[in-house]
Amino acid sequence: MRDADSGDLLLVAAGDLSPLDRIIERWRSPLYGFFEKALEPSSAQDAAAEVFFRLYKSAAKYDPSVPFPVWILGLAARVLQDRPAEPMVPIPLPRLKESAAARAALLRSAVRSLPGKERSVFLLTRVSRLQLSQSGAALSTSEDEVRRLLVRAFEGLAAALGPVLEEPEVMNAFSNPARPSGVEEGAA
Amino acid sequence: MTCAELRARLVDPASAGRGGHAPVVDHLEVCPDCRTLARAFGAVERLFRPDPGVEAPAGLRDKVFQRILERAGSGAPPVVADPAKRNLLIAGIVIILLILAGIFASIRRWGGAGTGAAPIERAPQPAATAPPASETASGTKAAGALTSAPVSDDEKNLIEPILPHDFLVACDVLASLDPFFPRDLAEGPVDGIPVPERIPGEEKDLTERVINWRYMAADERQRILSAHQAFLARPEAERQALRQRWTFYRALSPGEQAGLGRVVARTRDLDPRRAGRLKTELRTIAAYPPERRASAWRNHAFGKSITGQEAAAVERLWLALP
Repeated sequence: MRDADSGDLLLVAAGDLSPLDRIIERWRSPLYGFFEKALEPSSAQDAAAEVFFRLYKSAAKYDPSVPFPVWILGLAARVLQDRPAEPMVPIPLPRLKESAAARAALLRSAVRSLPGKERSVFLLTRVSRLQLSQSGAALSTSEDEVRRLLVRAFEGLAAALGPVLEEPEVMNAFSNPARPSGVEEGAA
Repeated sequence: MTCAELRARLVDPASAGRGGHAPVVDHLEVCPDCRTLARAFGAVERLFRPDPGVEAPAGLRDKVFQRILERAGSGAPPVVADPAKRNLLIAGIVIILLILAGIFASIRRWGGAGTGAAPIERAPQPAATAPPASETASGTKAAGALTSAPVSDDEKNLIEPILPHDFLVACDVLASLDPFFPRDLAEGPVDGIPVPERIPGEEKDLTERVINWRYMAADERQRILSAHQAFLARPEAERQALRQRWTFYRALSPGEQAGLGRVVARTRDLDPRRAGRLKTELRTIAAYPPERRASAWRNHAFGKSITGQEAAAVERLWLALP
């Protein structure tokens, strides 16, 4: 049976924009969450909007035999890959202990420091939870190549975040996402 | 099992069922490098655990449709979204064609009835201007007409100098951020921080900007024009400082921008003496080394009196400042 997203995209391809609204409603947060791990919030929003725009433009080329999540996340991966790798932003450890915003900025910077394909593969499998074979389909590459890229992505992140991974206090701060910033901690 | 095979297993949890855990454990026992790497991979995995609560900003949908409308005509599918609106548009076109056919038939009948009929004079063509959105039939935005009508020189002259709308709308908040920046707006931009020559969005294609303008409601256009005039009326030093502040403000998320707007509203409510004292105290905090700012801010009476989102917006702004 065809899923709602695939059906709606076929309607978009037929010239009706209303179903695009439903697709946006279902996918806006997953896509934003995908980009938000690598980009500042405003850029993440722009990137998600670009994916929906590309989805609309390419609706006529959609092959219904491809699962919709693979299709749309493939577009997202390409949008992300278009951005060149950037050097890591140095953030002092004391700042990381105090500020959730600084911690989020560090993780984004680490992801952005990866080459485009490694960055995409990492987020597809870890944030969007695609299997390796699905990630391969999304990026039009083989499962083996995805596995190879993923290993390199993990190695790159482990190297970029090395000092942080060895700092138990900072790691504890990361694992306590209940507070969006260090501000409330002291205000209580 | 080799080191490379072990690493491939570590990043692919689905492969755990293939071959069992025994070879992995055996390898880890004898390979200290892989033990270290396995711990690091596990830590990375935990850091990037997906956050199920993440919510996209509310304006995302509008951004998508604005983009579609702006780029309509570049080989994209039709732009009239609502089937009911599309039917109205088609009905309108059919009615116009029928009226034209009736006029044509009448002219032929009159022309054939008399001898020496006067030649038909061509009516002067009106200037090609796009109808305002509110004047289209039944309130329907005829998206095709708005996007395909030629862009007149008048429209270009009107739109070209107007700065990006999101910047203009934010100017009011930006101008009130004195307590959070090292110097007042009237003193000009902060030294050592670049002032962008162009506001992001200024470089947009003029035709796109005109089409965008056509879609705006009249009161929204008026708001933008007023903000634009208010910006131009400021001294050059203030305009530079606003451009500089904008680079920090636009890096915030929509939620953080809203939070900062509320903080500004709170500072406006203070009496002048208290506002002056607050400015001095906040600038003292902002001058601390980054690692000390957060703790000083969260212990400050004003920082404690506002919501978490508002305080986080200020913190985020300071994080970006040198």
